[in-house]
Amino acid sequence: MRAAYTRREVGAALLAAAPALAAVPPQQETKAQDPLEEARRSVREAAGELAAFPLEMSKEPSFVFKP
Amino acid sequence: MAQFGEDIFFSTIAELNARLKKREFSARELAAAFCDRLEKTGPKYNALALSLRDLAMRKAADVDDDLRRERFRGPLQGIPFAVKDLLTVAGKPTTWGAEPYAGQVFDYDATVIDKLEGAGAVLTGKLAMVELAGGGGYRYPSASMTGPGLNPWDVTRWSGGSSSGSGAAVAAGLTVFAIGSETSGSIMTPAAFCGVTGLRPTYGYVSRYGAMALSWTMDKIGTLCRSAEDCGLTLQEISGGDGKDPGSAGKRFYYAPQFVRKFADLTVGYAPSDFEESAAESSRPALREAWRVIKDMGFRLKEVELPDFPYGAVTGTIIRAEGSAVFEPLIAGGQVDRLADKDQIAGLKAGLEIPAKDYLRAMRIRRLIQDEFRKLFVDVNVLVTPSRFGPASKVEERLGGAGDAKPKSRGLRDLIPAGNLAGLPALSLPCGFDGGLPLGISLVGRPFYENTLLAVGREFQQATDWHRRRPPATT
Repeated sequence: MRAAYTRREVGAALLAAAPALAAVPPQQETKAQDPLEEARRSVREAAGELAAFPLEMSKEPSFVFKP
Repeated sequence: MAQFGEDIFFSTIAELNARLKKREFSARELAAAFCDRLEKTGPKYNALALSLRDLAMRKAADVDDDLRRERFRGPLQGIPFAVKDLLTVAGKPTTWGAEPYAGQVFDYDATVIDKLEGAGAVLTGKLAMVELAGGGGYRYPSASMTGPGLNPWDVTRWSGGSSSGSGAAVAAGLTVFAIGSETSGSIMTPAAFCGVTGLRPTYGYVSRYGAMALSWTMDKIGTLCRSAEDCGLTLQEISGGDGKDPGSAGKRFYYAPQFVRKFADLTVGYAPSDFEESAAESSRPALREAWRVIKDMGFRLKEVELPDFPYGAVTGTIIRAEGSAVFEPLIAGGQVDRLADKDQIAGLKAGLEIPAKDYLRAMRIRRLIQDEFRKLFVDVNVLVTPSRFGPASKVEERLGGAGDAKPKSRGLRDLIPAGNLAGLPALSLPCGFDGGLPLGISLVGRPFYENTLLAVGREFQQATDWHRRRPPATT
């Protein structure tokens, strides 16, 4: 299971967060709601919730979705 | 020329079709009456996107010709209907409710429209909707090129979204039935808020060819009608395989509620908290009463709760990632900034930044959600929960406010996102009022078990008359 959290995955997570973090200087985080920053925050929160959910490596998505 | 009273505009499909066959009036007279009403009253609710009177009158003339020769084509023959403006009609504008697409014209009809016209139904118009079906995550009912959808029961209230015009038009008797679409709540919400019966079919049952794509893996086309019976009759015509829709299940639906198992052999799953702390306090008496009517039908009952999954995060990630991919040219070209809702613009832009691994993780969790529903439906045939946990919000109110507070118990509260993720069918039935505003109760079942939901819905509507109620002063 530890293989699921390799440096590659950690690196990918940091890279994914980097553009959003770079775009928002810390002092602006507390400023009034810029809709784009709000939307990015919401995307990050959702990603955090997804990452926190335990998932077996073998669990595959259905690319051709069938109910 | 036939003179129509108000009753005609609130008749069911079967009632109108029987009168057409008896030649009490012609299909042309009926179509003209509905076109007049749609054109006159539709704008009052911001429900009308485009009148198609010219097409309607031509089609109705063909129907009259068929009726004269006794060529009967089924219950939809001569029945006026209207569609959400995300479906293409050849040579006519299809705006998707969004200003950047105001001049968009396609040269083909959506499969759903082809099928309905083949059954003899008469298309009278296109109905307003939340821009781009709300894929970017809108926060205000005003997120539409035609303005906020206004509720015929109280024009200071929202008609729900994103099939706003479809809900309002059926409620106000501007059309006999309407076609809507749902990615996550866009049929259930306007059906509940407007007091009409809404059916979200199983994913893949109805072709989406000619419909705006928002989320390839979640979009579904469905109907908003006067009754469960009408939903069954319309689904029978619009379902079926279509090679032009990669998501098509290749199955046809036949409306046969009489062959559903005896209710005593069916198990209904419910969560008591849905009718108590989850619901707005003022809505609880009506919702409890609706639940009592269902209980009295003689089902076996089982308390259930949705398993613990991050439904909101999974749904939001999938819809945003797929929606932003669909509208990438709009975003990259800058025209996205012409949308009406700032949160929607921002949501679409942010959606383009979702990493592939997050989208895939959401799709993997979605697989687990589907697995859990399969297990749940081994012991349970139908899930019952309020369609929404309170009545329509005020038009100027930010969405997701009062009445949406999270209770301690999960119950079936997240059944809209969860059911959509699993592609499950759902039927919303009008079930009472809160302060003069309609409420809905919904039935959710396993994939392709629409007949079970419709049989329960039909029985509920034989025991109640909420679906027969009309909003005050609709003209």
